[in-house]
Amino acid sequence: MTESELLTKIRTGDESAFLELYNRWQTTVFRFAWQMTGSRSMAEDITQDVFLLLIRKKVGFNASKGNFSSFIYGVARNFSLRALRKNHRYQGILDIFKNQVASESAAGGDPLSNLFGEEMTANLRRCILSLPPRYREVVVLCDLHELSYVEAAAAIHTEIGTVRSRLHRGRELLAQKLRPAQEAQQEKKGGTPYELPAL
Amino acid sequence: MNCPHYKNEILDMARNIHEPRPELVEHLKHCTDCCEYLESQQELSAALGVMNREDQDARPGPEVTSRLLAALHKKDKTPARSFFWMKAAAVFLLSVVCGSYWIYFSEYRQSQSDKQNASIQSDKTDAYVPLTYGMAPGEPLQRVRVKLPRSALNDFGIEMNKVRSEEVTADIIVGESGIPYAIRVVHQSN
Repeated sequence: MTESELLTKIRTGDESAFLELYNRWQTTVFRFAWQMTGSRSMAEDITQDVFLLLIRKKVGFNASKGNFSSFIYGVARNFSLRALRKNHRYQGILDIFKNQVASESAAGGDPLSNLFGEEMTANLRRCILSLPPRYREVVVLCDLHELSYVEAAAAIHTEIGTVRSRLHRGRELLAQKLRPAQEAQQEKKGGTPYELPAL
Repeated sequence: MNCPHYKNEILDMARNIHEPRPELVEHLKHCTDCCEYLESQQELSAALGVMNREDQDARPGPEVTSRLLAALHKKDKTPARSFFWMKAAAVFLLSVVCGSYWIYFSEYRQSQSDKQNASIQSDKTDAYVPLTYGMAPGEPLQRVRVKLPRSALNDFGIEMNKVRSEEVTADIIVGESGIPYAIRVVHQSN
């Protein structure tokens, strides 16, 4: 059953249709909100708001205008940005994250010693959260949710070229934030910093 | 070197979107800046991939599901209930408004009628002066109180001071056909 059909049933109060749709999309919406805000509780609130909107039919999904994926990402993005704007306390936490990342890098800390370790992921998560929202959202959509440029452009209502340039800039910023620790790791290993990668 | 030209391609290469063109591969063999950029982007892609895998199972708590289901059921019931109460409230309000209007209007008419009767009874009147003859026996008659210019009363043969401009109140007896049969001057008390 398509999402459009499920939505029609949900609006008549069909619980099984709602659960079907919720089970399909809850993880996606929650992950996106979590990666955008860095807060599980905020992400839960956003997830709830997104599905409440679908239940209360305040917005209409029109299958002829685009796919459901772009639609629900767009709704989740709007709620996430609104939550970020509203929640000033979050900004304070974000500032702490930013300072922490900066101090770790400046002190020659070793968050990349285990590239695929837990610490690395936590550090990367903090770096993503420290990106301006316009870059953060494309990094989250394209790199973490593996959306194509076309899908991401539809979700954030912009041009494909804009998505590409923002992703480019966002990833450059991320790499810059991670570079000091990366260089420290390479020094420790004793390898040359710039070896030609295997092609 | 045209490094900016290759940046987007290097990004797509690091993200494994498509295979690099031979021209780019050749460029990378000679450009340490682009190699550095590619390496950093590949490492970033790898780290993002790990983070992505770690987040795959992230999902909201069960209380979110419960709250949403509660909202769904509430929404299911709410429209019918609110519609019933809206209808009931509308009927009640309408009946209150109609009732109030009817009571007010009947009281108003009654009071006007009483006032008029009291006024008529308290007024001093002259004797009726016949205007026309030939009234059919048993013809229903009606008394109409009117205000007439003094000149009109003079025309009926009632002596009036024409110099004064104000109107004079008079009672006219009118037959069913509309023909006036008699008239009298009313000296209103107020």
